[in-house]
Amino acid sequence: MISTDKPAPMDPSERIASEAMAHLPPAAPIDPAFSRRVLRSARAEIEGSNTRVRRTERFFTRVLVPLSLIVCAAGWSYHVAHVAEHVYLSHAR
Amino acid sequence: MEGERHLIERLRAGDPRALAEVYDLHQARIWAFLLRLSGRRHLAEDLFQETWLAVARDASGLREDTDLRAWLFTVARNRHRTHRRWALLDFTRLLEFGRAPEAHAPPPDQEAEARWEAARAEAAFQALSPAHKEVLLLVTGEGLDAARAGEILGLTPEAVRQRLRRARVELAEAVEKAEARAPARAAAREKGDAR
Repeated sequence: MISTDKPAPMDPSERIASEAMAHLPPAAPIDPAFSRRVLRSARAEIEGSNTRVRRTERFFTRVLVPLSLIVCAAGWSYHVAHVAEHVYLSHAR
Repeated sequence: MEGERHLIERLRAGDPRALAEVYDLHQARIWAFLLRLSGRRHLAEDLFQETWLAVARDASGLREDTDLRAWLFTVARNRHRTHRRWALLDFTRLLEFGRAPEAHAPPPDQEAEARWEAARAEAAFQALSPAHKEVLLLVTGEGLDAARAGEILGLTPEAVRQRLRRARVELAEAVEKAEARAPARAAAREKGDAR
């Protein structure tokens, strides 16, 4: 279906802002030597991220540490619930 | 799209050549984004380097359906946000932020009308708050839709549209302020020439 609605008139601030954005000069180009240096260090980083030590480190920080925190929290919750139950029952007697 | 999937697979596998391809494809946009956002070349360089190191570090955790461009902008934006947070704690960086942004344009008496327009637009843009700069760069500059920009900014599409409206109003006000200052500056210049 073809819409016969006229496009909404542009708000004055929207028009001024659009013109300002259109007038923005292109951003200054990156220094090619700096750009090459960044790429080199990023490549070194990704190559380093695939070593066994880094994989172990990732496994430790992303799996083992969160898992142990969850286990600890669950253990403490169980313990507190157990103590609360004990106190409640001893008062009930 | 299929090419991007393949690129992501290689990135996840830690292929340095895939990273170089992504770098070649997107580095200019990320650089322009950070330079406009920070308004300073040396700060933009720091953030740019941090962004690509973070990309290399986190590439293995990418999801298969990741939109690479949006992800790169998210990483870059997060670096800038982190820097701003630290700047609040670091007094020297605070001073750095307090300074006026670098002028990219030549002095007014050497430039034609078009260059003056560009300088005025740049000054008005740099006067905006970072949140408004971000949304204008992503939606108006990069042509992203509200949903995609929302993913990067952590907002709903409606919130992006509202922020964009406010950003446009702020930019229009900044432009009008610059225009109001311009005749006074020209008169002062003429007075200086007459002496």
